Amino acid sequence: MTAQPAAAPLTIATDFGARAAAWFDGNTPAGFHADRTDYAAPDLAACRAYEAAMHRAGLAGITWPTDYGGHGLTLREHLAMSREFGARALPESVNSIGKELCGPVIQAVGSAAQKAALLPRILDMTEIWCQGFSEPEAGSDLARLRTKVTRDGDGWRANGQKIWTSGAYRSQKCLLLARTGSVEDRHRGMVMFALPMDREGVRVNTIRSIDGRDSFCEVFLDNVWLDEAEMLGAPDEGWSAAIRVLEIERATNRMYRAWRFENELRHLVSAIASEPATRGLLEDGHTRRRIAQALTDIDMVKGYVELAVEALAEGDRIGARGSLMKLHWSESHQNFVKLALDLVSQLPANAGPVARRARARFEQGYLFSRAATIYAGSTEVQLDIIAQRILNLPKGR
Amino acid sequence: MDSDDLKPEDFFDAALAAMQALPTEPRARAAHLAEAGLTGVLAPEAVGGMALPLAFAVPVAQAAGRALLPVPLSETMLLARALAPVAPDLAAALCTGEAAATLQGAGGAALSDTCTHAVLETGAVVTLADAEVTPLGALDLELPLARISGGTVVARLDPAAMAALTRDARALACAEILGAAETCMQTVVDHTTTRVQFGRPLIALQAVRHALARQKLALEGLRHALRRSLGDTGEARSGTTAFLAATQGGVQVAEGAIQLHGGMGFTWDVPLHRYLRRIRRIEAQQGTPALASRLAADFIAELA
Repeated sequence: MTAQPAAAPLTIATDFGARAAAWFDGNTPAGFHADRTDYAAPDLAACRAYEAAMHRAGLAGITWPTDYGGHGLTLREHLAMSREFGARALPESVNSIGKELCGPVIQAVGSAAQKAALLPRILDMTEIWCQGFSEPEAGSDLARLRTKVTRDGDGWRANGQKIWTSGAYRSQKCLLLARTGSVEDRHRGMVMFALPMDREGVRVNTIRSIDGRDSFCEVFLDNVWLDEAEMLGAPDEGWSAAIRVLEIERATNRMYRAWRFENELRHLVSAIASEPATRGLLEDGHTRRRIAQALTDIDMVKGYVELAVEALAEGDRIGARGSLMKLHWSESHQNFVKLALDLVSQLPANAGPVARRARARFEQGYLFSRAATIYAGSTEVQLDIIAQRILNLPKGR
Repeated sequence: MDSDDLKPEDFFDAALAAMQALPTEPRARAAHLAEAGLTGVLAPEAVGGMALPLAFAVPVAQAAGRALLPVPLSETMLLARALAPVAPDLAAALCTGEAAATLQGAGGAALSDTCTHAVLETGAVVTLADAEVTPLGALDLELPLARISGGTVVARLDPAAMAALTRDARALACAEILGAAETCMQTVVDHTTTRVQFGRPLIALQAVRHALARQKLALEGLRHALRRSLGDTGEARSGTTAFLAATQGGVQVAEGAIQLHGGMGFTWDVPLHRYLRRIRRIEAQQGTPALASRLAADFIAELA
């Protein structure tokens, strides 16, 4: 057990943060902010253009090598940007899978040629990526995945089915996880490919999710040709390297979420205060305690993120600590959106535009938040990880 | 001592060792802690202190939480620093252990026979010998709460000094809770790993593993919140949110440890109740519900 809280001061890249803030305030199109009354959900083309501009302004690919379109800075600058991005109600990246998952995996296991071909196209938004891991028979238990690749001349043929593949319908590439042998091999024989989504034999169906969106997909692979050059890392080796990358990603992806959480709380309180019919709710002791709880949780999640960045910047291993942050954020954010739904549900029918915007945002937010304790390793899986890898509890059998 | 070579965490082991060798005679305790170099960690050198930053008092307070120290050492460390400009003789006496002081919060002061002085909410520094002391309950067996009034005023702290004192006292209270919660966590992990039921150690049961994982989440959450509040986050509220995280997380860990000890956890045969009592006493002392309410009110006022 770590004995000390070790009160090392945090290093915040203040100048970089100020630069990011100025860019967001000067370059974000009208209608992008979910906490403003002129909000109109931006379409894919608008999001693509905006994210490409963010990259040109030095605000995406911050930690990536300059050789591959990145800016060669550190996680500290990435954190400084994330604080500003989160503080504004800006749209989620349409290529977060590419930027926060596939890109780092390619950097870790890809060949020089693969890096040069794939990485710049993620950052300039010409290629959106999806993650082909989960399958109908392999959700939390990924080692049971069945999608199989077999040798065919100097390449491979893939057959199988992927599911919960967010954004597959709009993706140009898929980080495909498959196996060379059979399910009994468990973790052995795992292999990764960069699959072009327009390849013959790839079929995508959308699945409507709880919030009414059609972003979730299933992906069918029917004898799909894969070139040897599309394999990322050697079989087994590529996957085990990717696991290490994913561990870091769990601790650092969507680094802005604590600040977005705070943006939501501000929006909620402002909207409730904007209506005479609901203003009094903010005087209520129970509501205040729930707001205090949200503030406490926000600061705790900030603490996890900031200290993870410090640890990584100092060259420390992050281990399974991402599980603590993920669990705390997902559950406390679910608590918050329950509060938000309770409050916006009390807004009157004749509420003004500020309140109406908040109602729409938090009704959607409430429904969408159910996903947070399921995706990226469900709560039950995170608890197992904490028990096994953080507490190091013996199995006791 | 040269603070360049010194790290805050270096203080933990020495502090804990000194606390575990505490004399039984209450009046001798402050001198013992002073001899170990603990009372004057923060005080300026002019009054015999080491003039170190608050971060160095954090592991000392954490050790106090582990050891269930029956002396308000956090308060004494802070007051030796705060009193140096207005009552240097008393500050010096706090450093040597000739005196020991407590600080009254919204919910009272933690008081032991070791104490000679108290600082009231008004900033009045009073002698305890002639003060009126009303016990406020017996949650904390070693360091119970009392309401102090009257007493000879020997000095006064101004509102700015009191505000700084209150803020720093809350940070050290977090550290004490962290120390107490760490002990509970270690105790319950040891117990569930060795206690056999149904032919297996308790740790083999997923319900138990998940309960422990949640306690660990609470413990690490409070550690991170404390660490963040000590750094330069640029947010005034981080001390308050860290304290709320600490009381909430500390209680969760201590109550959870008692639960997983089964019937034993409910008795005085295991010391877990003492840690729970201490955490709850600290919570009461700081007027925690009002603190939470004020945190929300300030946030609302900023937006309205």
